[in-house]
This record gives sequence, C-alpha cells and structure tokens, in this order.
Amino acid sequence: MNNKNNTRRKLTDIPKENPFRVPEGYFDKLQDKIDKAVAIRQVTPDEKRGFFSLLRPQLALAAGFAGLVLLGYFAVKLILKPEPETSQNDLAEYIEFHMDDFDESQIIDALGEQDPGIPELDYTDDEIIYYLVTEDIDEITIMEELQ
Amino acid sequence: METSDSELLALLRESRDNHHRVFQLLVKKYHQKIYWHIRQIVIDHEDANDVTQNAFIKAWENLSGFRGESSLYTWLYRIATNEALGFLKRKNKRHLFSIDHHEQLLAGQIEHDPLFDGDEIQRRLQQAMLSLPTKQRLVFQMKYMQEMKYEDISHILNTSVGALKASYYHAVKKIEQFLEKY
Repeated sequence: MNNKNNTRRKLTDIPKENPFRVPEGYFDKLQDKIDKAVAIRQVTPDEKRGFFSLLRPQLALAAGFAGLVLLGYFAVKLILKPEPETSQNDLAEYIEFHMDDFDESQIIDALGEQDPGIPELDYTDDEIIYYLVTEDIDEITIMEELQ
Repeated sequence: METSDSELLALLRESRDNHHRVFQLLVKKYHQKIYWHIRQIVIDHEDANDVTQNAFIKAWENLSGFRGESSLYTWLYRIATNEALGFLKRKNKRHLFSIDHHEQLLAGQIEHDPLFDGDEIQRRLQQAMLSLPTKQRLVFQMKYMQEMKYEDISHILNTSVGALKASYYHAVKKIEQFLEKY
C-alpha cells in the first residue's frame, strides 16, 4: 500500500500541465480549416460521394433498359403462348370426369386418327403355341378372330 | 455561450436541415479538445493538425448516422482516437517498423520539438508514456492526464471498465519504473 502511495506521490509530483504548444493563432484558423476541408470535399450527410452515388445515373439507365427488355420478353411470351402441356394424369382425370359425354364411336374415331398400325409382336413361335394351349384356344376360334 | 451536448442532440434530431449548424457548433465546442487528444497520441503538431481535420470530416460524414446511443462527446473522441491510431499504423507501415519502435522515435523527437515547452521532468514523463504499449498509453493519457471517467473511456476505446482499470494500474507502475530508471 505504501509502495502504491509512493508511486502516486512521485507521479503527482509532476505537474499535469500540457507541455506542448501550438503556433500562434493556430486554433483561430483551425475551425476555418475544418469548414473548408468539409466544403472542398463537398461531403454532406445527404450527398455522400460514394461509388454507388457516382454511378447512380448509369445504374438508373441500366435498370430502365433491363425493365424494357423484361417487358418485351413477357409480351412476346404472352402472344406466343404455347398450348399447355397435359400430363397423363390430367388426361385420365379429364376423361373420367367427362366419361358420360363420350360415346363409343367417338373413342373409336379418335383411336383411328392415331393410326397406330399393326403392332409388331415380339413373341417366338413356341411362346404363341404355349399361349394357345394354356388358354385352350382352338383352330375355330382363331379362324373367327382373323375374319 | 457554449451549447450543451443535449441541446446539440436535440437540434440534430429536430431536423436534417440543422445538421450543418450542429456540426459547426460541434467543431466550435470540441476542436481544441480533440486536437490536444490527438496531439498526445501522434505527438507531432503537423500530424495532429492533419488528423484533427480528418477526424472532423469523418464526424461530418457520419453525423446523419448518429443515433445517440452514446454521447456526442464520446462519439467524437472515438472517431478522433481511431483516426489517430489509424494514422500511426499507416505511418509505421510506410516506414516499415513496428508501432512501438515508432513511439521510441517519437520520444526522441520530443527532445528537439520546438513546440514542446515542458521542463525536464515533464519531458521524462512524456518519454515514459511513449515507452508504454499504445493502448496502455492511451488509457493512461485519458485517465491521468485528461481526467476522463472510466465509463467514457470504455465507450471511446470499446473496452470494459475492468480491463481499463487493470491497464491503468500497469501503466502507472511502468511509468514509475521508467522515472526511477532515468
């Protein structure tokens, strides 16, 4: 404790007066210098000359151009609107919902338009014979189907 | 008559049109105090002159963003302190030596400074302060020489009061040792 008090006493022996000085009349001019420094830089809180604010006119022009391009794109897209693609599920739902509106002939006509042709069978002779035997299909039935 | 900080803050909040007037009043009220604060950090008058102007320009640039979360006084001192420390860092980089080495040079500079009016013991005190690490020197200068409150220094240096007290205690001990040695 004594040691601490001694330390303080020694330090406090030194006057706290500011030992530095400034050139004559310096502070009278400093305020003006600060005002001028602010004015020269033309910096105001509302008009910070940052990178963004310097590019503001160019950015506005670019944004306007981009807006026009987007407007044109959507206009063209709207005019040349393609037929909406219908999924198999949508088609099935639609047919199911309107089933009562179709008659057999309309379905046959629609299938006829598609002209699927004769499907190529990918069966061997042995597989066909096996099928006919197991399903008990005789020659008469086959002849009837082919007529 | 000097305008109080609370009056300045009220003017600032009243309207954006008042900003320039508030800034002028702020400069009028604080330009000397801020100069001396900076001068104690950078030592050289010409350097202090430049740094003071830069600090006030920064203050002007940021005045519209001042939200009053701290007092105007600590806000301004914080800008000034950061500006002075930044200046020392840049100066050291230019000369490729550490900040502590630079402070040794500053201590030598005091010997020949025509704008130093102190006696021998004051010169030794300045040199003792310059032997401290920069942050510790700042704490000592603000607490002992400028008699600031720990709470204010805490806001300015963004350091806890406890850390400041410890820093100040060590600074006093080191200065005493320095003064005994020389």
